[in-house]
Order: sequence, then C-alpha cells, then structure tokens
Amino acid sequence: MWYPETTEHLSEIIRKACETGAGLVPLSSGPPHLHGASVNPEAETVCFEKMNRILKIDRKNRYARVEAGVSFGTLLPALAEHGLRANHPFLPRAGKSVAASMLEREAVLVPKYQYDYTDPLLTAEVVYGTGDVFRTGSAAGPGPVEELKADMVCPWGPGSIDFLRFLCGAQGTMGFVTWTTLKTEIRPSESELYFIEAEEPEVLSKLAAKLLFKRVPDDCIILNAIAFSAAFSEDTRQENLMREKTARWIMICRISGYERRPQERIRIYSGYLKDIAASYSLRQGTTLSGAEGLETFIDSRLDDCDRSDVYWKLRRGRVREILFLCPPSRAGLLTKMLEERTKVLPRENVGIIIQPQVQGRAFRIECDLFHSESEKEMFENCALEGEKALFAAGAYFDRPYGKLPSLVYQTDPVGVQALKKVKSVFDPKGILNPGKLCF
Amino acid sequence: MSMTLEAYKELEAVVGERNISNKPWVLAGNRARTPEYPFEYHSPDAIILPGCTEEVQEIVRICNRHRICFVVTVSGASVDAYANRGDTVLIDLRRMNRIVEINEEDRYAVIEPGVRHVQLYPELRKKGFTYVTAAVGPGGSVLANYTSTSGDNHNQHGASRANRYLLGVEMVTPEGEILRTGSLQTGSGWFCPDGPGPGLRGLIKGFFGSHGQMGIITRAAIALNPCKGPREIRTEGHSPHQHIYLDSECSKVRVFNYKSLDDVREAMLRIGEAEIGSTVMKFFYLTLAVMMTDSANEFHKLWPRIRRELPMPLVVHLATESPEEMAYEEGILNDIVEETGGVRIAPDLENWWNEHMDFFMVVSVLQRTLRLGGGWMPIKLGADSVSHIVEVGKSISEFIYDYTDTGKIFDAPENFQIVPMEYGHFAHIELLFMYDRTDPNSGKNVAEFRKTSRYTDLKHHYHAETLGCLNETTELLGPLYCNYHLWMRALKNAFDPENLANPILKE
Amino acid sequence: MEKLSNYKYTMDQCNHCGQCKWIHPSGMHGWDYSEICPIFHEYGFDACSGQGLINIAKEIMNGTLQYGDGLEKMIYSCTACGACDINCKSVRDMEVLDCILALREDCAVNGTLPEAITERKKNIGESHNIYGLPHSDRWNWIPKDCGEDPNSDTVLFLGCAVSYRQRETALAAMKLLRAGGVSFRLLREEEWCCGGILWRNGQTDAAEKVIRRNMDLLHGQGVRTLITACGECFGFFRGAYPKFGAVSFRVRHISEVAAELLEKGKLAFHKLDIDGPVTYHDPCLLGRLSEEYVPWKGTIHSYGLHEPEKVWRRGEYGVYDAPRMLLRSIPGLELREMPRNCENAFCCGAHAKDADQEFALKTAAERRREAKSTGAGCVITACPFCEEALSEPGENALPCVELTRLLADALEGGEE
Repeated sequence: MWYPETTEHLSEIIRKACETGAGLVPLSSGPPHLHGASVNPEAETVCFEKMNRILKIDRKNRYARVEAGVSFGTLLPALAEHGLRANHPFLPRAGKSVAASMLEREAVLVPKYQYDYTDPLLTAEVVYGTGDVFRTGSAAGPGPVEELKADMVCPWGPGSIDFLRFLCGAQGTMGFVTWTTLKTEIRPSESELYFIEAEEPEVLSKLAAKLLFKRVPDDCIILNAIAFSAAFSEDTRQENLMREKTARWIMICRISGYERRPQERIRIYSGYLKDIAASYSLRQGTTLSGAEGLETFIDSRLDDCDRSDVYWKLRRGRVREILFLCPPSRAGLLTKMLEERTKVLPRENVGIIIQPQVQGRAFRIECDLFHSESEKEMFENCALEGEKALFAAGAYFDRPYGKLPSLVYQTDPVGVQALKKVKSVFDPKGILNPGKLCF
Repeated sequence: MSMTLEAYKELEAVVGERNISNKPWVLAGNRARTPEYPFEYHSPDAIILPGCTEEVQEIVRICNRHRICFVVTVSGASVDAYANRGDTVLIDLRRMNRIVEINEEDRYAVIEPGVRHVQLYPELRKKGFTYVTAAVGPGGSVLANYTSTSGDNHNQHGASRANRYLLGVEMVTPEGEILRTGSLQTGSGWFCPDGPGPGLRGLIKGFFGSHGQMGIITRAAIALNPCKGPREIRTEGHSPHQHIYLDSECSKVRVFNYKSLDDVREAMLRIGEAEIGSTVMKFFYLTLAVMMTDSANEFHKLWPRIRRELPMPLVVHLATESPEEMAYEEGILNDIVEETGGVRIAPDLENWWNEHMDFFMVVSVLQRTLRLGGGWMPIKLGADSVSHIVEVGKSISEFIYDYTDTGKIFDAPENFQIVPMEYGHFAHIELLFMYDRTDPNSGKNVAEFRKTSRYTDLKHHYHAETLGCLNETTELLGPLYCNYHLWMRALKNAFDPENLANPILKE
Repeated sequence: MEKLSNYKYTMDQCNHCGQCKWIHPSGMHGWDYSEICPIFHEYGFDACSGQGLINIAKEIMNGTLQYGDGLEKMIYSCTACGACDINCKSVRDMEVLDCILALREDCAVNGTLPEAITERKKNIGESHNIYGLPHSDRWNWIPKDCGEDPNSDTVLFLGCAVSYRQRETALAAMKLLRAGGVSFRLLREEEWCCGGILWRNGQTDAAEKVIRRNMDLLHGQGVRTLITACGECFGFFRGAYPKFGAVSFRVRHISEVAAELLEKGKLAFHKLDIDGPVTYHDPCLLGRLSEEYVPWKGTIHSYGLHEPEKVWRRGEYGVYDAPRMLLRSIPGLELREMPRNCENAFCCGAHAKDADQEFALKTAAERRREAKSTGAGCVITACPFCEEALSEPGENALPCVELTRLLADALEGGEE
C-alpha cells in the first residue's frame, strides 16, 4: 500500500513500479467501496487519502480545484461557505472522492449545467504510467503550474488531443490523477421543490427531456418508490412506511432563483413547468403523498452527501448496481425491461433511479438491488442476466465494472485495438490497474 | 516522386473515372495560396472524391500500400486542408453529403462531412432545433467545424464550444480500419461520445481538431439545442442588403459600449451568474465596421465613427420563450449594465444587429473581413476563465501600439473578441488583425507581430496561445505545455506509424 | 481588353470560402437546392467553380498551367451565369465573373476553343446572327401592320433567338406595347446580333466590332430607349456595352415596361386557362447580371480602398420584381417561388451547350426538378434561351412558357 502525499511522490512510486513491473491500483475514496474499486491481490494499492487538500475555491470564476483524496463530505460544505454548489451525484456517500466520481462520469443532479458527459470535470493533473506528469486543458501551461496565471478551467487539449477523455472512464488504467478542477455553480438563493407523480416511468422521462430542452429545472431526478423511500428516510421503519404510501414513480424537480430577481425567475420557470407537465397530463405539486412534511428534508438531501453511518444504499447489507446510459427515446423501454428482469426479486429490493443528463439528451439509469450477504448469489445472477439482456437491447454500459468489460468489448475488436494503442502510449509497461477494462 | 500509374489506377477502380483526377487544371483548384497565410501549398498528385465510408477505407488502404500521403478536405476553407508536401492525394469528401438522421427525440443529427451549414441549419430549424454554428460561410462543412477546427462560436455564452456537442463518430483510421467511438462502439446508437471506458473521441479533437492526422471522419452525430425563434427565417431585400425579422418580443439585441475591460469582465461574469442571454461577447470593432458595410470604401467611411464610438462593444442577444421571460432578462441586464458602467450605443448602429440577428446570418457576413485587401489573421485563440482571458486581452496594449502606430498592421488596437461560454464559466479570445498584403514587409511584420503576441503571453504565463495539431508551432511550444507534443506524436505514431495521414510537417 | 492581370487583385483575394458555390444564407431553405454553381454541382472538383476558375486563371497568367487536357471544355461549360460572382460580392469586393471572362479572352487567343463557339463567331461575322441563318430571315416575317411608329425614339430590339426561333415572343412584345400605348419602332434589317455571346465567349475583338457598330447605329438614330424582348440582350446591353463606350440610350426589358404600364393602369389581364400553380425562372442576364456596368479605372490602395470609388454590380437591382408583379396580376394565377430564386437562381444551362451538350441538358433538368418541387405545372421565364433550354426533352419535363407571350395571351380587351 502506497500513500503518496505529493505529485512527485506519486511519480516516484510509478517509476519504481515501472522498474519492478508491479501493478498499481488507485484508491481515492474511503470505504465502503462499490463498483469502481476492487482488490487485485497481485497489485499494490496507491491510496490517495493523504492527497486530500482543497487547493482552491474561486467564487468569482466558479470553480474549485481538489486533490484526488478530497471527498464530497469535505467539499460540499466548503463550497457552500463560498456561495457555491457542485453539480454532484445524487446522495453520494460522504467519503466518495470527488475526483473519482467525476472521472467515472457519474450521474449529476443538475443536468442543465452538464454540457458534456465529462462535465463538471474541467482539468486534471495526471501521472502517466511512465511516471511523467501531465496537466490537461488550460492547466497544461505555459510553464510550471506554480507560475501559470490561468485558472486552469478550459477542459480541452492541449493540442488536438482530448487528453482528459482518455482519463475519464479509465478507472486509472491510463494514469493516476492527482488533482482535478471542477466547475461549480452559484448556490441558489431561493428554490421551489416540485414533485410529479406517475404510475409509469416513461411519461416522466419524456417530461424530463422536454423540461430540459427548455432548460427549465435545476435539479431533476426520477425515482421509483423503493429508491425514493430508501434515499429519503432515516431508518428502515420510515423507509417501509414511505414505500407503501408514495406513488410508483416520482420526479423531483427543483426550480431555483439566483442572486438577482430570484422570485421572478422561479415564478416564470414554474409556469413553464406547469405548462409542460400539463401537456403530458401531469401535475406538479409542492407536497408528496406518503412523504408529507418531509419536503424540507428532501430539499436538504439534494444538496448534500449521505453522512449517515450506514450509506443509504447499504441498509440491507449489500447493493448490486446495474448502471447504464440510454438516449431519451429508450429510457422508458429499458426501464420497463429492467423491471421485468428483476421481477424474480422481491419488489422492495429493487430501487430504480432515472437521471436525465447532458441537458436532457441522455439518461443514466441506475438499478440498486438491495440485499443481504446471504442473498448475494441470487442477486448477482439476476443482475448479470439482466445486464446481458439490457446490453442486447441496446443499453449502453459506458462504465463497465466487474464482469461487464468482457461483454461490452467483445463486439468491437477495432475499438479494443485502438484502446490498447492508447494504453500503450500512456502506460507502456501495463502497470496501471492491470486486469481492468480490456487491458 | 509522384504517384505511380498503378496506384492511380487502383484508386480509380474504387471511385470510378469520374471521381478522381490528376489533370493539372483540376489540381490547380486545390493548391492555390490563400491570402491570409503566407505559404504556398504543394500540388496534390491527385484529387479523389469518395462516396462512402467503405470507399474512404479502400483509398486509405491503397495509400498505405503505396506509401502515399493523404490529406482530407471538404470545403477547402481551412488552411490545413491542402497538400503540405509532395506524394499526396487529396481526399475530398464533398460527395459524402447526406444528413443521415435527424433524431428529434434524442436531439442529435448524424451527418456526413459534405453537409454544409447552409444545408443543415434550415433543416434543423424546421424542426425547432439549432446547433452551435461556426463563423464560416454557408459552404463550410459542419462536421469539419466540429471535428477539425476550433469549434468556437458566437452563441457559446448560452451554449458551449462545438467540443461539447460532438457525439458518436465513425472514422477511418490512418491504417484503414473503421473505428466507431462512444455508444456507437457497442451498437447502442449515436448519442454518447464516451466509453465504454475511456473515450476514444479523445483522438479526434482536443482544443483544436487534428485535421485528419488521426484519421478521416466519415460520419458524426452532433447534439442539438432548441431554436428560440421561427421555424423559417423571413428575409427581405436582395443581396447584399437582406434583413431578417424575428419576434421582437422574444428576441432583442442590445449593444453597450464600455470603457475598460475590467468592466466588461464584470458584466460578463454577472450576466453569466444570472444565466441570462443567449449571446454575450465583447466583439471586434473593426470587424463590426466591415460587416456593417458593403464595400471596403464604405468601411473606410464608417470606420472613424466606429473607432470613436465603439471601441469596446459588448453585444448581448436576449432570446426567450416568452415576453415575460424577456422582461425578466432585460431587467437583470439593465441592472448589470448600470452597475458596470456600460452605455447603450446609438440606435442606428444597434439596429444593424436586430436586422441581422440570426447568428448564422451574422456570421455568414464575417467573410467581409477579407474585403480589406485580404491581409488578415486571427491569433491567440486560447481559452480559460473569463477573468484570465480578460487579462490576456488587457496585455494586448503592451505590444500592439508598436505595430499599429508604425503602420505595420491596421490601426485597430481593440480588434479582439472575447466570447464567454457556458454562462461565463470560460471564454475564448481572438485577436484579429489586418495587414497590408501589398506592403513588401508585410510577411516579416506579421511574423514579428505573432511572435510578440506569443511572447507576451508566455512572459506573463498566460494561457492564450493557439495549440493545434502537430506542426512546427507545436514543436516549439510543446516543452512549455507539459510536452504535449511528445504525447501527441506518440499517439500519432501508434495509429499512423508511416506518418501518411496529413503528415507532420517537421520530423 | 480584359487582360487576366487586371484581375490579379481578385485572384489574390480568394480564400476558398465557398460563397461562390453555395446559396447565400438569406436564401437558405434546406439540404436540397443549396448549390448555386452548375459546374460544381455536376463535377464536384473545386476547379469546377468560380473559385477554381480564378485559381486556374492565376496559374495561366503566371505560366504555371497550360491549356489542354479538357481545360477549355471546362472553361466553356461554365455557363457564366454569375451566381458565383453575385454571391461572392455579398461579402467581398472581387470580380469573379469578370475574371472568368478574362480567362476566356485569354483562352480564345491561346487555347483551342470548342468548335461550336468558333462557329458562332463565324455566323455572327457572316450573317449577323448566332445561327448562321440568312440575315433577311431576321426581319422578313415581321408583319407590316405591327404598329410601329417609324419616328419613334424607342426601339424594340428583338435579338437573334426571338427573331429566328421565337417569333411569337416578338409579336407578343409588340402587342403589349401597342396595348399600353407605347410608341416604338423596329430596326428590321438594321438589327444585328447584340454581340453579347461573343463578349461572353471571350471573343472580344469580334464582340467589340459588333457592339461598336450597334452603338453607332443606335446613337446615330437618336434612340433614347431600347426595349429588349430578350433577357440576354437586355443583360448585355446593360452590362457589356458600357465597357466599350458611353451608352446614351436607356435600356429596358419588356417586362419592366409592361410592369410600368400595369401600374399606370394601361394594361389589365384576364384569367388564363392554366391548371395549378406556376413558377418563375429568373434568367441570369435579366436578374442578377442586369445591373448597369459603370466603367471603373483607378487604383486599389491598401486595405481595399478603391480610388476613385467603384460602383459595384452586386445583383441587388436586377429585374426581379417586374416579372413577378405581372404574373401576380393575372387573375387566378398562383405563383410559387423555387427555392433558388432571384439573385440565387440556378442557371438553366443554356450557354453550356456549345461546349458540352450533355452537361447543358443535365443542368436544365436540375432546374426543372426544382421547378417541379414547388408543385408548379409549368415554369415561366423571360428569356428565349432559358425557354429553349428548359423546354428540351429530358428528365423532369414540364411545360415552359415565355412571359411575354403569356402576358399577351392574358391581355384584357386587347386586340386579337
């Protein structure tokens, strides 16, 4: 186990590994570790817990720079102090590394701020498999980082290669990231929280896409009753009660006003929401049956990570996630398929979250199969079969974890060959997170 | 050594006699020097017009077999779309001009390289969409703008650079494989550019495009944005005096003059924070004067007034869904302008914008810039935060007067634009200068001016330089930018070991 | 007289922006019908376009390119329709068409012209018409009682195509003038070819002879107004004649005169037996190329400053409105616009015929495809050459009617 404290230190570790041929696995988040990190007994672990400084928060230019070990639990309150917010995933665990989340292209809560799948990640410093240090985008230079006057926020390049894109989704196989710059947004001064209930997910996904086409909502997320009650309850008892009372599907939609004329904005945009929802025969409400009185709690949960002792997804001991992407036209169909495929499991164990992304042009669908240690095999088998069926139906597993790489890469030998060429440039000895993806 | 007859015949067999030529007069149409760049192009050995991806693949394989370099072009408007050495075949993709799909629900369009802005823009508009349109003429290739050039555009305040909107891509690699990126890789459609795992789209475009150095893009999907305005644009009058009319309750252009770049910065950041406006930019004042006039002579008459009255124009286009939203945005804009010391310009000058404000219309007359003798060059072109880019803009005054006051370049020291993107999260800068091509010293002056601008940025450690595909500039600047040239070269070597695809100029 | 070196400024200015190939954004309408250059549309190589011909002209001028290998055929396949020129001039101060014409002039001297083009010159030299038909056939069919006033200072100039091939158009023009009470006379045996085709083909010496002869005749007879029944003659009189000397008479097209008469209430039209909508094809020389040429000689200073100031022909003031106004005034006639219209109109291809018959037919077929796309049952035009080209058999056939004849047929209360 290595604990680098500086970029130079990390570079040294990697250079040594180059000489010895030892594999290195990056670990940037605290426990519990879900999809991304897995133990490779033949490799050494590089733990980033000592690289945990918030390097900069810039209110004026709306960005923050954090080391790889900085977690949401640390960053979110720090940003709030500056009047800023991060476009973060829905209720991440407090110990989750901000950098890892962005590098893994995790779903974000405010799709209107996401122009691209790599957003809100802007730039990164990386140590490649050769031990060379590199900075992406406008962080590249000119000159050393200490002298560079740029804010290091331009995500593209340098040159005609999008270096950042090779790092995203790579699970550390292309290089270990030491710090990242992320886009942050003005913290709304006022917001109005709306709930829209439906019996089927498709109408809500269509509504979400339409709302985002017009850039109406800030936060926007669709959950089934199981995921909703798990996320917005404080214990199992409350969760069980809520699950039975709420509608099958709930869209949470928050409309915000910023520093200027906030109420006017909320009024106008709430009007748009009302009109667009009505065109789908839906109605928005400021309360939700089954969760009455919890509106403020829900509102605050949207802005934070989960700081409870037991992560909300792990109340039953374990969670097996099925994560895929799809375009708006496929969201309803694939969600239905997901429901069909998990029918063999108890209904209350299958949480589904549909998150519009990239300004409503795509949806990240997440199925959380909550289960206990003793149910592991059954749930794993169901998940694997489900993933195969979904893949065949066109679900896009852009973040292939566990056994998925063999499924997704088998269809495209030319792509795999190309990825291997890229890998051969940035990690010629193949020491970075060996055995992951197609390397 | 020129292309062998055997190679030519093989290529001819792919596309047919009609779609390939090595006649000197045909080659003459693709080797002429353009006025803004000082170097002569080489003549290609042949020009070939493939009609589909498979033909491109076959051509590339033949080039590999015979060790022939290939450069890809569509409109010919880019200085990198020419043969830069001998033994080169020019692959002109203009026959591949299909709009393959407009997916209204998933908000993307799949296009081939030959589709031009003037073709795609109205087709999308009919369906209520628009896309970020580069500042090129109607014949510019949309795909080339997204993949091969900068991708900056004048609507990027409320949107972003083209980089953000390039989705699934199909390309022929320099060795002749058909590579598909993102969701296309696993048969999941065109909607996502990244994954599975790392995004191979990183090969195609960084800050700038690779101009075919990493392969030939044969189809690509671009993401679409909503079009606020009528499905068809009504125009009146004949060229060159067409006017357009949009719903003035939901579309307004306001132009303000500022006294300092610090104030401009404040205005840009505050407008961005409020998330209002479709377009915000500190525009070129000389360019504006050229765009507003019908001839160079008319420009010379108008220019003294523009120079006097509009040294630092901030152009803001408000485009909203409803009059109520317009009142909201206009109210905020007025507050910000008052706080930051902007002054609304004379109505006759502002009206020009309203009469032309569809941005595609506006940028289509940007070519007028070349009216001033054709000596024209954009430099800097980098991007970072609004604050940083404003500092870059401020530093221009450190060196430009040495050139304007001595007549080495046209006397327009404020002729640069700063265009924020993503509601002020970052901005790009372009310093556009004119020079007198008839001046025998112009080549020397231009080179010196570029160098001075570059060294001013380097001296201050400003990130503003043009970092493009592999060329001599990359080699020069690479060591100052984390040796990015070495990584780019390594990737190029991995994918194009024979250095045939738009080859690197200097080994 | 149009030396290539006169256009060095244009040659040096071109940056391959593509404006000469694609419709101006103000006329954009969709994917189809967005190209404006017939040769580029057909052949696809950049060399086959306004930009390419400029590049070729420059290389010919510099001696780095020689004629042969099909170059002459391409130079004359270009219809010289001027779409490139007008679109380029929407953004630039360049003379694309004049540069192409200068290239032709050079080609006529140093290259090998297509046979049919040499033939035209011979015809005009020998019998004063482009067809090589007897000169007497030009006028011997004109009725004695055509209503002309031998003392009129207004001349109705018929032109070769109308005089020899479309005499109904001539009669229709006379009928309109009579109905509107316009005094006119005909040149009859004194009318020669306008010489435009020689000028357009770069056969400048021959053109100059004809043009000077015509100018001398018209000036000598004290003509104050010349009305043409042919769109081409109109464009040449306006655009080419002033290059050879001051023109003291006013040149008008019959459609302009008719529109004026209509506005004054001197003409009225009745419903015609036409099924469905019609569309109108703008002839190049009546539309975008019909602006008066104002000679310019001077210096181009730094930054494009022309001294003295130059009057540019940018196509803005072509005859676009008069034909449309006339057609709209015919009761029950629905006029539909083609996607490419007015200054953006796609050429009918007529003048490529002498270099490449097959290409000319294809170009006409392309224009007919566009006409049909409007749902129109027939296409109206105001030029005998366009009428002939669009009426050729081939793909996308649809009836083509000449405007003057249509108007004469629709004359309310007119003589029979």
